Amino acid sequence: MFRFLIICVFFIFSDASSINFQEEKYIEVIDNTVFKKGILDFKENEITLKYKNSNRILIYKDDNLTIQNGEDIQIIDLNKQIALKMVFLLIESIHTNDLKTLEEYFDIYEKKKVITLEPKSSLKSYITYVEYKKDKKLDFLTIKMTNGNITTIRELND
Amino acid sequence: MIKYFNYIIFSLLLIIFFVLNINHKISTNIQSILPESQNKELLQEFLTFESNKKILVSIKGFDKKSLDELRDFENNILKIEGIKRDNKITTASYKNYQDKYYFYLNELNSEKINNFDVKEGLNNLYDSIINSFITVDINKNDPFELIKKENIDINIKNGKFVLKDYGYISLFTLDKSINSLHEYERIYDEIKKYETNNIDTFSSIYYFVENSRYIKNDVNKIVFIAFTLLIILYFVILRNISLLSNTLLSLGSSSIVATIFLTFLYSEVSLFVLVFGLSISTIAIDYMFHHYFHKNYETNRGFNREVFLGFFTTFSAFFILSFSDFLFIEQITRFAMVSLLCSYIIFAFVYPKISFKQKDFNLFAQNKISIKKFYFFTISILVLVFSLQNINLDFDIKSLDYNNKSLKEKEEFFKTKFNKNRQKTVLIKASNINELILFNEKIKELDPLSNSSLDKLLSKEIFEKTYKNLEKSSLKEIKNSLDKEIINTAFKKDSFINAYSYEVNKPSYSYDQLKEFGIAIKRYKNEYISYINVSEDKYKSFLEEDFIYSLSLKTLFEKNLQKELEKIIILGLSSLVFITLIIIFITKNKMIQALNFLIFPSALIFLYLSFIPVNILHIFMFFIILSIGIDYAIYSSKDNSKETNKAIIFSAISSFAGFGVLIFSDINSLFSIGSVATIGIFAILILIFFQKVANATKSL
Repeated sequence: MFRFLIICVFFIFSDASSINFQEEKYIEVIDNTVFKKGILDFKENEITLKYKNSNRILIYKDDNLTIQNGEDIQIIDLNKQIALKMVFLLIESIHTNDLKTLEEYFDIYEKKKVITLEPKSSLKSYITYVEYKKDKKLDFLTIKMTNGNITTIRELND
Repeated sequence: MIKYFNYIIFSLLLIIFFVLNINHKISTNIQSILPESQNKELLQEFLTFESNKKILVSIKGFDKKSLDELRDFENNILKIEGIKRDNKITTASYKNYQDKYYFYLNELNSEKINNFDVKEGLNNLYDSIINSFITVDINKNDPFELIKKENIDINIKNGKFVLKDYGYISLFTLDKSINSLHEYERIYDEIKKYETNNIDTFSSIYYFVENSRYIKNDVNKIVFIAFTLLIILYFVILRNISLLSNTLLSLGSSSIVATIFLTFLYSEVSLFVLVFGLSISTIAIDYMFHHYFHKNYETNRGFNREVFLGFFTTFSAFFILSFSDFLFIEQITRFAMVSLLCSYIIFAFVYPKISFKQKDFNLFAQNKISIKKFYFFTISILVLVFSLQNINLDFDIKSLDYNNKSLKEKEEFFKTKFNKNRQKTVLIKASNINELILFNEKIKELDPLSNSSLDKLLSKEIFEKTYKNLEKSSLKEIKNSLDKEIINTAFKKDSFINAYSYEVNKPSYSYDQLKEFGIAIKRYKNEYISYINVSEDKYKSFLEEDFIYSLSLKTLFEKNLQKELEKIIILGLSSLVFITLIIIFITKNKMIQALNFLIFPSALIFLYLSFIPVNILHIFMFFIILSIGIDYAIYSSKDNSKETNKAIIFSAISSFAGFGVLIFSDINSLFSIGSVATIGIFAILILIFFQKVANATKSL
């Protein structure tokens, strides 16, 4: 009984959680939209991304992105890939409702529960705007890039 | 009515002082005493660049508590008027420009280009797009990434820049309109109100505020000591309150006249000049004492020739020194001349009309030790010969300023945490914009680690050279092949229509355009200036180039100071020759006794200077001591009575209250003056007490 309680408390208080999502990606240069499904795992200071029907696993931790593909492991320093780092920062901050971190990069507006983020400073070179709606779960998160590409992530029911 | 002369004149002058707003022309900044030169102007221009108005904020630790503490602090300081976040925004025009000259501003990956298969490249690009994570980042100018990627290394965590192995850092900047010391002080005080134990802040403007306050406090401390000494002298020994109040008012009036005079000549007068000038003004006390002890203020004894000669030689010595080009010395000597002239007129012509009665008192007389004047003369000459061989000159003008150690340590902390490579900032100046860019390219070639806001600009020469290299590369073939192959792919036909196009006009930049790009550039007369951070190990060799200017006060003014010191020595020696001739002419057979008042203080001063780095103010003060010594030489050789000795002793103590107290200052420039003055006055008192002269009575 005591052991059971300990395990329950651990799950309640740990940050670990995961969401199933669908990614809808409009790619301007091919004028087409690509759909994918996957799982995002959130642990403290770590995000793991897995797409369905793919062997690749992406782990974002300590400013590095580790890409595992079977036995191949590639590590990318995201401090040298600001656009990609921003995407992970966005996902992490929206997941944890960390508006203070979002305020560091964006001006935040809210209209009918839809939150719009307008980038500040040099981020403007990469991102046109970000929009999301989140109650208990993430309705949608749209990222419009300056190169015309638009990505929308929706949380799926389990 | 004449009894209130000093009160009326002083009150009138004080009113004029405030009506003319003279106090706003007084500066505590060391730049205000620097020699007027192109270097000074360039330094002042550099200080107006935005980079000098940044505020750096750091907090130790990466935990949530530190992050929240920093965010609270940021929110508080953003409420301060004139502070904003330092957000670097690339304007649309600058981005368009960088896109247009993409192949000129970046380095081609020749290895990749030479073996590049466009068809395969397009297939790989398609695969990478389809398999990309969440977003797609394609550069339409260079979809195949044939340009070497810039090595960007920005460490960000929770929206904050990170100082490795330390904590978070934030950057703020001051509004362009914030330029005065008053506004710097307001901002400094408000920031300090919110600072916690874990938060450190630094800005170049802190130097202005902290140094100014330190100097003001130091000056207050010195004025307090000087006043205490003077009050003891007048109240306890002379017991003449009326004389004290009148003398202080006369000296005050003379100093105000001199200050007003200087502010008419110069737009800004250093507080250092005023402190030093006020000290010099106290030399005039000996005119008063000599008249007073010889009862000129009680009975009508007529014109006092000795005092006039003393005043005339001192005035002439300052007049000769005023030909110095060193602004600080030029201002002090002009201040001294005006102040001494006013004081002399009041003490010689107005005081006899006011009349002051001397209260009798006896000084302790010493007749036990008496040293022959020839011993003083010979020993002084020997000491002078020895000391002059061991003089080391210090030309670092910064060593004259207050040494703000704690702030320097903070600046060093931020510098080392920010820059992995040790760098120094230099200024570049060119006659036109293209030349300015060319100079930056030249430095970059010799020091690839250097950085500047000009890095993304192209000179016409480099443009042409790069164009030739692009022509030799296979970029054109790749573009043609891309236009052909794209038809058979899933890509939109016009997706990469501008890719690999480098046929563009030669760049031509206007000043306004560069300002819009956010480039650090300024107009200086008909030329242009900017700044570059260069590697510390290459810094010295760069300074040999005539278009590069150091921004260190030491290097900037070392040559000026060397030249000035030579000039001051020539001027000082000229006044010394003049003084000596006057002494010989006036004192005749008492020449040695009189000359000892010059040589003995010189010997002791140079003995002290032979153990320390000697700055320009030590030398200047040495000549001032000589000009004080000459008064005493004339008085004592003309009339070596008890009254004369009394007058000299009281004048010397008053001069100590004026100059000597500067020895209690922590500011090197003032301490230098104080130390030389104290030794000089001490030497004069030794002569008064111990020099064996005919019909003399040694008093104490």
